[in-house]
Amino acid sequence: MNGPHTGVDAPSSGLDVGPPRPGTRHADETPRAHTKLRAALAGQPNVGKSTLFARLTGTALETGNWPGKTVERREGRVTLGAGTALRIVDLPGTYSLSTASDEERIARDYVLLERPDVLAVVLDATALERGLYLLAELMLLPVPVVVALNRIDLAERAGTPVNATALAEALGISVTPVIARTGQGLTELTAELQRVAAARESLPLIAFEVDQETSHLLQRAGVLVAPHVRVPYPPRWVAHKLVEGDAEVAALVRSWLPEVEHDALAQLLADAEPAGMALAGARYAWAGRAARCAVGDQTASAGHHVWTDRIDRVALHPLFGVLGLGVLSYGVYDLTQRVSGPLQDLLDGWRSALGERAGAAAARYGPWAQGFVEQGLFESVGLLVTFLPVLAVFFLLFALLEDTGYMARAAFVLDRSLSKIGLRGKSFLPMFVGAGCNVPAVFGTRVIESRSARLLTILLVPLVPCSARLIVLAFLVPPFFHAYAPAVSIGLITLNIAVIALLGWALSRLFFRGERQSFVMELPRYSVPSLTAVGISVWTKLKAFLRDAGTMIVVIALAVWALSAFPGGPAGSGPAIESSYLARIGRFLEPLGAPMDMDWRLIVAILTGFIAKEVVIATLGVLYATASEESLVSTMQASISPATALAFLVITMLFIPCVGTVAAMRREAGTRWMLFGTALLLAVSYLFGIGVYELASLAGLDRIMGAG
Amino acid sequence: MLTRLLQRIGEGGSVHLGELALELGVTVPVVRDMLKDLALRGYLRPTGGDCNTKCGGCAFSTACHSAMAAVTWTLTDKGRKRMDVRPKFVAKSDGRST
Repeated sequence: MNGPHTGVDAPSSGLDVGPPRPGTRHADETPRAHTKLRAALAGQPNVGKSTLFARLTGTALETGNWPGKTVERREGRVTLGAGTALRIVDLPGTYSLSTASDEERIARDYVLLERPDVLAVVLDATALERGLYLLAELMLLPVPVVVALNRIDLAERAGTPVNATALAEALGISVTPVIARTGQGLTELTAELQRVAAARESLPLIAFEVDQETSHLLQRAGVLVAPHVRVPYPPRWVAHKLVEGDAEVAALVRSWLPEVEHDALAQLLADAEPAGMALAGARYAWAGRAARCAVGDQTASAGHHVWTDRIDRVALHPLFGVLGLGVLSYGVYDLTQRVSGPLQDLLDGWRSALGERAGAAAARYGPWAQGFVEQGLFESVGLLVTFLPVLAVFFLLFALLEDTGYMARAAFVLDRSLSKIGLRGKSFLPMFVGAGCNVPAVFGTRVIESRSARLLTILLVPLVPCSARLIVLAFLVPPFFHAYAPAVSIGLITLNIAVIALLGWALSRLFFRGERQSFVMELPRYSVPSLTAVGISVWTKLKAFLRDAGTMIVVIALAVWALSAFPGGPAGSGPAIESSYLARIGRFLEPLGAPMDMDWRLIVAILTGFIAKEVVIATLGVLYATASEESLVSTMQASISPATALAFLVITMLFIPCVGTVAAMRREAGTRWMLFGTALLLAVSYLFGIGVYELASLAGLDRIMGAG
Repeated sequence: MLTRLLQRIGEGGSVHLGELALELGVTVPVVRDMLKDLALRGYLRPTGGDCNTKCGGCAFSTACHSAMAAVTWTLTDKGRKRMDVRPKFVAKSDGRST
């Protein structure tokens, strides 16, 4: 690709003034014969140009390739009656007329070198301004232009009707409204093409508003090249292109100009880059002005996204947006609990019934086998599987919100508020992904190009409450906090976000001094979610959960069970487990839990949770399993105070979710940063655990409630 | 117009296309075109959000099932120079440009 600033070293493809190029015979046979008018159809891709071409020409079509290119060339004929015909060439669809692509080069060369009698520029009425930009470029070329304003019906339906008369007035050229799909307005268009082609109306000069320096530069360049510009190039166009740094035109001019003058020109254009940008900017501004004339000021910018805009006024509001996100998160949490609660109970009933039966069947092979099946499998992994409904509903709601286009807003609004505290720009996006799972989020930090910002994000991503942690929340919060459960859950998640903000602020102050990050995001329009897309998303995530539960978590749960069973025996609770290897490990670490009144079992649960957060539930299942009929939850209630449970949850929420995340951190940031991050989060989670326990104790939550 | 857009992006922070369109008085598709234009001139660089390469280290891969177009743009060195925005801290290159 020829960049616009590659200088004059690109002797180029098609713009040489030489012998007539091959492949242009249609035109050359009868040059400028007015009985055989020639028109070309130009426009941006996807504006309905091909449909219009087909409508105009019908079956009278010649197809082939543009000489030396793989771009299709189509030419057709429209009979105008009275023995005259109009040949129409369908130019490739282009967004602009630089020489960035073959299509653009072909379109520009055709108009410049073949000089059709008239150029029909197809504009999409639903995206008027974009098309007008191309028109601004085409109107610099020395060929009469007629606008075919397509899709006027769609624009009207979208609530932004385009006033063709006003547009024609603003542009100073003829505008014919058409609907290519139905063929409406084609007769008028052909008549207009014929009229303008026959008259060879000259184009009005577009007034581009540029700063004085730019216009001065344009003028100077024009004066320098004008005496040397060769046919068929228009001097004004050449001057424009030179200022814009067009390499092909620069090469041409070099071949035209004597050395002295070329040197003067080179000197003049040495710092032309800002001027080139100003020129392109002026084209955008011109297009915007013209569009506003035709559509009306209000709707020109609002377009047909009226609803999207209305919702966004709230959803993207710095304050209401965040509040709305909070309310919505609460709604998601509440709905998840309500819908999945009964399902979970049902599954749990099946699980224990099935576990008992399987245990009874395994009892034939001895108490070890029974313990293995009942506690190793059904009380741990089985317990985890009963959380499938929770996850399914959560993922479903998440995917629904995502597919409506809201999630992008949530990311944006949170990003903006977080950026105020020092976390900036793109850091938030990987974090947002972290709400699903931290591992891809760590890898996702690759979108951040500055290393310091990336490191910062990698350190913070493990604090994003991932879905595995939400399972632990869903498991532990309701039995301990009853009516306050939603508030506690939201509070815990908020704590995580607060810690992210706090650490982010502190770390960016301490280690990563501010770099300016800018980040432009494109928000999709709100839309009705597609059930297929939502279904696929939910299924993919659930499959991943089941796969983990079925493989790695089974192995870990079994290992935990085995450690809890040896050397005493598979009795589960009672004296046997108190002397197990697991108890010994836990006891060794018990002093660490003492400030929070945590016994060794909770410590072991936290430890195993390091392998994968869901394992916490499986471990608790093994450790608090009783021979009695009492449920796991009531056994835990009988031995753990709400304050301790809260501290446990805080640590679970704040510490690194799993080995996978640590491995990802190491891969992305190196061993040292990985160790630093782990130690940091260990310290943070431990300190916050103690702090929360102390606070809860003050509120009198350190008493065991007892079963019930 | 392009200069104004570049300036706005050079100011840093996060901004979405709708806002830019409103500020510049153009439509969203045109802002998109202008961003591409600035990229072509070497002032901006799109990062991430390229969902064509399925999940290739992209932070938005989980969101890719929908038509969510989360394209992000940053200033290139050239753009920074043009805007005269000098980073206070020069990031060490880690030799792995992704």
